[in-house]
Amino acid sequence: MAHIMRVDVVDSEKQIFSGEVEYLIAPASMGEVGVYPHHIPLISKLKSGVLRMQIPGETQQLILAISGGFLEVKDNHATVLADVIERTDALDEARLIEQRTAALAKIKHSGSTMTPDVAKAQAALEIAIAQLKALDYIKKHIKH
Amino acid sequence: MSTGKEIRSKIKSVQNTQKITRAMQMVATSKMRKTQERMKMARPYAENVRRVMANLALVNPYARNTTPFLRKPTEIKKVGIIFITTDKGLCGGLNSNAIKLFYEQVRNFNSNNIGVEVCVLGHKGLNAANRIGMEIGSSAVGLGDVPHMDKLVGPLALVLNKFQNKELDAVYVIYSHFINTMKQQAVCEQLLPLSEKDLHLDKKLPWDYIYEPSAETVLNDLIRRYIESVVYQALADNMASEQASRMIAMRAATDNAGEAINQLRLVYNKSRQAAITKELAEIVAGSAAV
Repeated sequence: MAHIMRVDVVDSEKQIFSGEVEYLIAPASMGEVGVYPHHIPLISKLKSGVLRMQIPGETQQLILAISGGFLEVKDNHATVLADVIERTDALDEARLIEQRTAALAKIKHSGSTMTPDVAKAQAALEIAIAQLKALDYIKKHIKH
Repeated sequence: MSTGKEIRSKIKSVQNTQKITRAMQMVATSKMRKTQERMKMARPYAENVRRVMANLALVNPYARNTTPFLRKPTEIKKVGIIFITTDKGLCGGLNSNAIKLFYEQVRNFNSNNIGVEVCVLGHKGLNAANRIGMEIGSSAVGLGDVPHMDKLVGPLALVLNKFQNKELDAVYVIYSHFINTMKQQAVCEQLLPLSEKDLHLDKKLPWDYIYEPSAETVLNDLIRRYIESVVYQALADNMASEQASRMIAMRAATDNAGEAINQLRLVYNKSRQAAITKELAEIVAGSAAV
């Protein structure tokens, strides 16, 4: 059974996952892409959303919340360069909603001028949205 | 000569200082180990970004030639310096060495009529830049003991945007590089424009990627990520240097305090003995007079 490929998932602060999977589904900038073994070389921007992977022998997919980044596929090896990535079991919905509201208020308040604070708030907003999306996905598809 | 009581209280106060420096030394030792681990943890990302970026530039010369990040400026009018220091002091000559290098670089650029804009990370550097009235484009202080990407993204975005809009012609980073526990060195490295050496552009590949959305956007964004990860590494490096340097400085301070205590004890014992001798002499003289 050679239908597996290597996947490395890293973000700027740590390596989250490295191993073999049957397929992975990533939130590319122009819609979700599914990558199966022996995919042709691909580079894609990722938007915030849910990254899913099927690990051989596991019944459930491995689900990660991702706030944008890149996907590179080459020689049966996929690399996900995430901006910020979080295992979904470490997420807390109420806190995320709070973060999203706070970031939105900051961005609104500043108007259109670009300051480090606004950039920071935008980054925080993207992360919060990504993680909320991941939670939504889990609720809909897994916890029935 | 000071009395016994005075010396005793002085010994006590030096002992208290010694306790503090010893505690700081031990804290720095344990933090240093953690910061070094963090440096290692961030490495896979930096390596992967670099590899993907290099592959892309290799297979797609069009993207390589259009991206503003790889252009070779014909004339350098203004440069940006990302200056990384610590937030807190008490870490030996670490910051003063970095600041010295920073001033040197600024002087160099200024004497060649090149403008300098600085992006400061860390309190000590901010003070130093303010002292000579530098133009500060952006800054971040209070970075703590753990480097966080989200604190860097804002200030760095400003620098990168300026480079992309050709307001800056080159970008450098200054930080304290961790060589080993005993040795840290202030270094200045060029970040932008990227040299072909950084990318390891050595061979031509026979295949190309599919791009989503397009090669240029992907490459530009990747380069941003790459720079961010390089600066992140530099910050983590600087933090490891800070803890190592503080550990050494505090160990020296603890040793010095021990020496000072020994000397004070000697003086104390001498003055005590002198007092006893004096009293004895008085008693003997008194009995002789009777």
